[in-house]
Amino acid sequence: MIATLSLFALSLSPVPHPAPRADKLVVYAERAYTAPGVVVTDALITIQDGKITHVRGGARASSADLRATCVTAGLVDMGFRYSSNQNTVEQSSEVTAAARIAPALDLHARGWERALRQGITTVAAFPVDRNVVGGMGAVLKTGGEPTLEARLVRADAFLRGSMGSSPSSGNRPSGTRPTNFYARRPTTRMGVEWEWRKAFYDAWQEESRGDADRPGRAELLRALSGETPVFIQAWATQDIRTAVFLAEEMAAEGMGTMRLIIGSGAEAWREPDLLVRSKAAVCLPPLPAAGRTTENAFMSMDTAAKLYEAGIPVALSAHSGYGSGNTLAEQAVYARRGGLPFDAALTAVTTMPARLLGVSDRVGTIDLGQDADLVLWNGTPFEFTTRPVGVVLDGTPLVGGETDR
Amino acid sequence: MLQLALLLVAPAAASDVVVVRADHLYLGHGEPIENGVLVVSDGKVTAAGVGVKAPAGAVVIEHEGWVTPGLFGAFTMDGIGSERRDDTRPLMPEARIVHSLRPRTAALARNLRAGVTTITINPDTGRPCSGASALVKTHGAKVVDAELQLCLDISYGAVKADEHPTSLASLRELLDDVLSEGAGSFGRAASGELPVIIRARDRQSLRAAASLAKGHGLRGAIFGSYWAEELVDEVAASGLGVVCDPVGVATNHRALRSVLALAAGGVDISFGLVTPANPPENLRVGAAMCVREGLDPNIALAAMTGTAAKVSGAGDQAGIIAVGRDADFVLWSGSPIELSSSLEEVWVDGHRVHGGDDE
Repeated sequence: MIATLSLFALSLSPVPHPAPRADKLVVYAERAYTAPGVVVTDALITIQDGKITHVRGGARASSADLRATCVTAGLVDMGFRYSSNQNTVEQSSEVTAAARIAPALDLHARGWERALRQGITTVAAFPVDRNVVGGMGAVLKTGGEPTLEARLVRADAFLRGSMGSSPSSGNRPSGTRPTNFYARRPTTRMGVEWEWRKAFYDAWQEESRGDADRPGRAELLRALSGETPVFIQAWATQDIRTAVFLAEEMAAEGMGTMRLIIGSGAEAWREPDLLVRSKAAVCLPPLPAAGRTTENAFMSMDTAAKLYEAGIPVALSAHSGYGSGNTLAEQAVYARRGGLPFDAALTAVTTMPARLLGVSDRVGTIDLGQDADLVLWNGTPFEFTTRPVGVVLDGTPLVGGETDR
Repeated sequence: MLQLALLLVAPAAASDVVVVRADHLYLGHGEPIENGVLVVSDGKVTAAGVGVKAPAGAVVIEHEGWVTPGLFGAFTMDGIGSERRDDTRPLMPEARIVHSLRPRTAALARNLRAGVTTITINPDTGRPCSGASALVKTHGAKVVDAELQLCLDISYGAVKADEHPTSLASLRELLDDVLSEGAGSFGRAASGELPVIIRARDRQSLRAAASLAKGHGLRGAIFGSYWAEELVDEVAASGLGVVCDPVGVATNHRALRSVLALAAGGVDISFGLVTPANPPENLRVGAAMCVREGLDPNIALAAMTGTAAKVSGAGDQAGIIAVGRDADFVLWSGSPIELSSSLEEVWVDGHRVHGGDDE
């Protein structure tokens, strides 16, 4: 076996802001997991101008710039938490479909590099879940030149919102006169669902009547029609049910077939039939330490496996970014331990989130023309004893050595 | 030395021609002049440079030390007590902080004792637009300009928890909208007539301030340098100057690096005074610390005088010693950058108004 770190003849150290990308880079791996179900042994991956230009097996390591035991595509975390700061969400209204996340992003923040160091090369960014409908989320790379132009993979990739208590808690004025807008915000789950339904009905009816346009209507209509997916945070059973029922009601009324993604769906395993029926996908939160997550939902190591067996599209997430301590690779390890097959685990951290975010033409697999985002591992990925030892982003080696936090 | 001068004064001319000969005369820009001469008449500067002859009958002061323009105090909240900001509305473009100013306040005198002869008094940050700042002389509280800058805040500080805007995105959109509509003071700011000062407190807001200025043709300054290190190019491209966060004794190293990076990137910098939170004596301390870190001493001097006034939109009214300008200057025992130098005299409008550190 090739010494894992012979690659680091280059003596790489984590560099958040890289030197200009090398024109050409060749990576060798004993095993390259180029896509779920596809393993290339003695693989030589050639990268030119940030894209993968050639992949072949049965090659020798000698001509490679970097060498590793195993390589996968860069990981994709669609539940990434860029920030916990409430200034990412406009709360003067509980439905702000037109809000964009970009002005709130600090691309120099440590969280991006933290993600990159654990092998996450692509993430979704969206407002903190304090609104019913928070706004449009974007997809970004976690490294490279710290400008939006350089890092944005897809703007307006999905509409983000929330069911449950996040948008309703803290809104009840406690024994005082209602003096601010919290007084009119929903205070119950019932109220949250009502806001969702009203937002969609209003947008649809205004459009049908030909009313003058207003901010957010176009975004809601694109969500209704299924043009952009709707990514709804719903941890607990009742909130997952509510999200599905909402989508089903819109469809029954002839307003469109939403593409629903349940975010943080810890208890999705309790409603497999409902999710299959609605064709919803689930992004799981990180495995909680003691079984219970936010909203007191229950989740265990076998949750991902149960969803997979039911045929529900599953993505894993570490909710990493501002220091949660979880890594995405670890989530895949736990899911494997809970019975998720290797290829399904790889899918859940690469191709599935890439597909759900609408960016699989660029990331998620090691294939010709794809962005050259690679994770180099010191053994078989998603084993307890294996960790990322190097990361290539858009063809530039950015991380090497002792990494993964 | 003063006695000698008095002997030369002809009674008729007791008037007002004063000549100061100094080992080092710093005019507020460029390099200090060795053996410089400053001539003051009727409260104005009538000549400044080398080899200038003293008019007959002038009071001549031979000064072994430095003469500089009166220091410029950017971004103070002096003399306005607790009435720093009106919190009833996010946008108050036509409000003027000068109407909160109490002219007989110890705060102004304290500035004068530190060699600061002109300050901007600003409404507090924390609202998207908190009003207009004022340009005020610290001796006599003379209001030089009641509407100096339009004060904006594009940082998280202007985002409230319970009132629109609660998000950085909406804050940006709000300022974009009002500047595009161009009513009143916003229109004057967008046409470049009224300078702005934009509060930035982190990298998001620095970037937003730079792009706001670029998008609407604003001129003026960003207030807040701490996070600027990585964004120098964007700030430079905006054409805005920067009023730096005060640098003090216990300053984080990043604060110093950012000031140096801005200067190296060609951005006009000014040391923020930010009284009363920061004492006016700190202006020199900050400059000295930056020079110790590697900042060109002439840039540091200008950042307390000529460039400081320019950055705050007061370049025509304060900060430099030049013919025709108000004779506001300070006599120091040595360079004000050296903290061992003491302040000896402060002159405003051609009159000695403070006798120095011993007084």
